[in-house]
Amino acid sequence: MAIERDEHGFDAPAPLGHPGRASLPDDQGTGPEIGEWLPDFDLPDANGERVRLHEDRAGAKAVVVFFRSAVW
Amino acid sequence: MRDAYAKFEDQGIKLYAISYDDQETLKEFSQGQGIPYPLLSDVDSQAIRTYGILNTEISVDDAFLYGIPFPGVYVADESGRVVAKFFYDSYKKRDSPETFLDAALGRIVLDEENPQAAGGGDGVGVTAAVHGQQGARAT
Repeated sequence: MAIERDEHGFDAPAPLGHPGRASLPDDQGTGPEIGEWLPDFDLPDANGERVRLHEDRAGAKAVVVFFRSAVW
Repeated sequence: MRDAYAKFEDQGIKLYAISYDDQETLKEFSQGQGIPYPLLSDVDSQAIRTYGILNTEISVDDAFLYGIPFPGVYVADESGRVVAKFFYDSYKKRDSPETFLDAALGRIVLDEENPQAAGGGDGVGVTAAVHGQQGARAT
């Protein structure tokens, strides 16, 4: 699939103007709000080890990053 | 983000990075870039949906891209509650990892009326991918 770069330097396997490149729509929610509990998740890491957010952080502060993809 | 990770560690702040990539892809990326924090594989976008940030602008028929989130960052305190979050209404706006660090440490007061802000950092590793800015150029 062809990679195209937009004016912001965003390389993606999608044509320019594709919704995958779009900014956050006005009516789009952004998940848990300030003061709310961060939902737990149970996901494998790169080595296949399962990581459960609240168990793994064990009372520590946490930064959770959602990103599009490691490859594009 | 990779280079800022030591500062997170120093403060005892855990860092998790989630994408829809499979484990093999993440392993390659993690090893290739020397990423010191967990990259988590959410292949069916389960966590992304739970958080309510699936990019619904992308058609289910778009098999390659369907499943990506609207990229963003949450900062939680010791109790697991959100104390700050950063979502991007534009690719142009970017914040540094230090911004997340400051938020976790309570150094800045966030405008709750307008929680959207830019996130990101030095264009390396995950930070680059967060914004999609330089993901394909990462070396």
